[in-house]
Amino acid sequence: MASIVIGGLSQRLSTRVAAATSALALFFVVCMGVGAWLVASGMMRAQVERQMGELAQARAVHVSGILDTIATGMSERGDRSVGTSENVRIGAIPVNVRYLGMADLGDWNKAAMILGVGAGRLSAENGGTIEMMQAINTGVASPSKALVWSVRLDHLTRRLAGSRGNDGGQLVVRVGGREASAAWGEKLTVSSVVAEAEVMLPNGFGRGQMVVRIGADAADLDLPLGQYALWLSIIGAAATALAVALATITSRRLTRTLSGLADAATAFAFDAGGSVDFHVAGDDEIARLGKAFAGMVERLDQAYRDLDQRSQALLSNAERVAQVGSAIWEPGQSRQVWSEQFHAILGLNPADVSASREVFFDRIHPDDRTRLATAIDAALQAGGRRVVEEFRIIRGDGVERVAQFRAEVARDDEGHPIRVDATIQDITERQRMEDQLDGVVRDLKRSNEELEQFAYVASHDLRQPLRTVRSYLTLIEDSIEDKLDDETREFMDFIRDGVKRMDALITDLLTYSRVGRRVADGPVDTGRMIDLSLLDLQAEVDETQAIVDVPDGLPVVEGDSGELTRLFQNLIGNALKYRNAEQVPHIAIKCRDLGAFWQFSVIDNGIGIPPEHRERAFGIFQRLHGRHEYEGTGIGLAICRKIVERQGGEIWVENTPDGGATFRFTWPKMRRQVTTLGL
Amino acid sequence: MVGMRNVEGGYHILLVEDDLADAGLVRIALRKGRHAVTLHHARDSAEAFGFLRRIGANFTESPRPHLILLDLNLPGRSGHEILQELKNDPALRGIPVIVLSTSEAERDIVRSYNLGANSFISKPMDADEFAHHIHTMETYWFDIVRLPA
Repeated sequence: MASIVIGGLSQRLSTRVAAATSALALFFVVCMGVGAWLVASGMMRAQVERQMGELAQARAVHVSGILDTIATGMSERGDRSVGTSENVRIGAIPVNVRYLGMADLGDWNKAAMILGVGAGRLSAENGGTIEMMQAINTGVASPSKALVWSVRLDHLTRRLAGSRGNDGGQLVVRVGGREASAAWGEKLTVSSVVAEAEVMLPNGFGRGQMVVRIGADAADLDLPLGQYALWLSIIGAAATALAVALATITSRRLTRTLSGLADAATAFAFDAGGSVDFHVAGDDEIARLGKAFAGMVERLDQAYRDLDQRSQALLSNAERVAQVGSAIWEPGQSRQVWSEQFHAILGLNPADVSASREVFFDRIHPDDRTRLATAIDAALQAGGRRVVEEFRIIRGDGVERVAQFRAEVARDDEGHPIRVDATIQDITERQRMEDQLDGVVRDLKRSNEELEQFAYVASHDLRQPLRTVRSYLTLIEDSIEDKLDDETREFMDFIRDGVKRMDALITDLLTYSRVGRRVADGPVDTGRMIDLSLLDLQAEVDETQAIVDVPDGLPVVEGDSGELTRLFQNLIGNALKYRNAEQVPHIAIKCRDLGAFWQFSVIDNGIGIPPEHRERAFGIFQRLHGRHEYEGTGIGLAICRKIVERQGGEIWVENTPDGGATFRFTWPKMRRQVTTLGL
Repeated sequence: MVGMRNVEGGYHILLVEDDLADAGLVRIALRKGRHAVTLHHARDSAEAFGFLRRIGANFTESPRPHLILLDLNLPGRSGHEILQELKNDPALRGIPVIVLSTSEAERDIVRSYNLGANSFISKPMDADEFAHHIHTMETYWFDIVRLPA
């Protein structure tokens, strides 16, 4: 579609260039034509006028000659009687000659005759007749008679017509306010070019004027002009046609390179593949443009190749590091595109194989092929989308690896699968570790179950004999009360104490073993937990009249409420138990925000713990004091440590400056990833 | 060997307990009590149901007990299993069962009540306390509560 548009554009461009050039050419031709016409016709007219002027002059000379001849002929004529009249031909022109006596002169100017001067006049006879009078002296000093000759104008013009060619003209005579004219030929028209020449009248004719007026026929003048115009038109048309043709060809040639350039640019812009050839021959602007385009394409191509190489390298590195290989293919096509790492995971060299479904499946363990193929086919079905399957690869060196195959099907708007994007990852190591971890988990579970069984046995079976001993000791004591001496009574107290301590040890051990079991971690308000533990310790607090400072605004933490209560109860209980006999117990509870942790402190003014015993204090059944001083099995702080450490915190003891002990523990704000093992 | 003693009139209690020492504690406590109670002692499931259902030569005359005191930790079938069978038997279901166990485990308590136990008593460590518990139990079941005739 794009190429059609481009073609249309180039067509229009060339047409426009051609039309513009043609119009310019036509304009010049018309201007030249009109100018040439004006110049040529003016020149022609001038030429004709000049020639006609000469012609008129020649006619005038001719007429003048005829008249001279007649006049001369009259002068040489012999005397005739007055009153005679005759017609003679002089120079083939009929002339009427009359002899007049003085009396007959009439309106002729007598004076002119007397003076011997001729006189001429124009009469209207026969369309115009020139008359001339000459006095004749017949031996006497004064004239006695006169000779009058008259020539008709039309006879004169006939003579002119006969003497010279087939032209036409007019003879005009003005004498004494009269005018007469005669014409010959028919070419003298108003529109034609007219030339005039004055005719020399014979001496003595008097004041008169005679002109020859000749004109060229319009046709005579127009014909060459018409031919000239015709030629001009033909030449103009031919020039125009030539100009149009040349303009078209030139514009075609110009726009062909341009449209070739445009086509190449379009191909480059819209076509993904294929090389693009820009017209670079020549040195004109288009060639330079072509070269510029070619340069741009080259640079773009180079940049694209660089980018492609870089991204390929990047992808390749990323895949190698992540040990993930990627592949793309179109459903139904055998040919696929695999990344380097994809090849590597399959144990193939990209140079040796051509990526295809067959090659891929060839590398898969025969037992896994059907399952994987079915999974991929299912994903290609309507509604399918993802595949996540694990399978075994048998590499060329015979090594078996475990890989995970993941694929996603891309679909068009109508839901047809168009592309499959797949990755494979070598998970052999991971699976081996998972297997190991599974084994550890199984072991832990089993040991956990055993521990639970132990706890149950401890709670029931271990205590049962103790109970029997203790119960019957009481019964025996009751029955032989009066027979006991002090020593025996003391022995029996020892037995009772031993049994009691054994029972306490069992109970505490059970409690210790139960830390972290069957707990429900969740948000716990530590302030409330401290209140609860103080409630349990109410008797001791009252007894010792201890002061316990609990700040407001203690945080809510993640943990088990029972465990947190026990933690605070043990720590506060310890502070009460190991009080300094000489002062009122003062216990302060503090909490600091350490960012990722809360740090709680239980500060007392009791007897404190010597530095060398600080670590030991948290050991199970570790006691720092004799039973005669302080009761207890020595499990309390061990339980505290177990509770704190289960949450990822730490517990330790410091000395309070005035001699007491400060127990501190940290409690993470973010809940630790607690395993399902309940450890 | 069934330690069994019939006392005319008064209450009959069946104690299911394999520990003779504990059984002795119960017996002594009951002896010191205010009520005339005949204690029948069965040491396992077989003896208990033999007594209750009058199966076997020794139990032809056995009375229907007013209460059953049941230990959980027994040889063979456990106390829970006995409890389950008792409560599933329409003829025996009506007899209140008091679990008397050394166990303090929550799961034992919950399971006992779920199976229909009427009370759960943890055996105290101390003999005097034990006697006190038994006497309180007597007061509750024989003086306060009305039992089926």
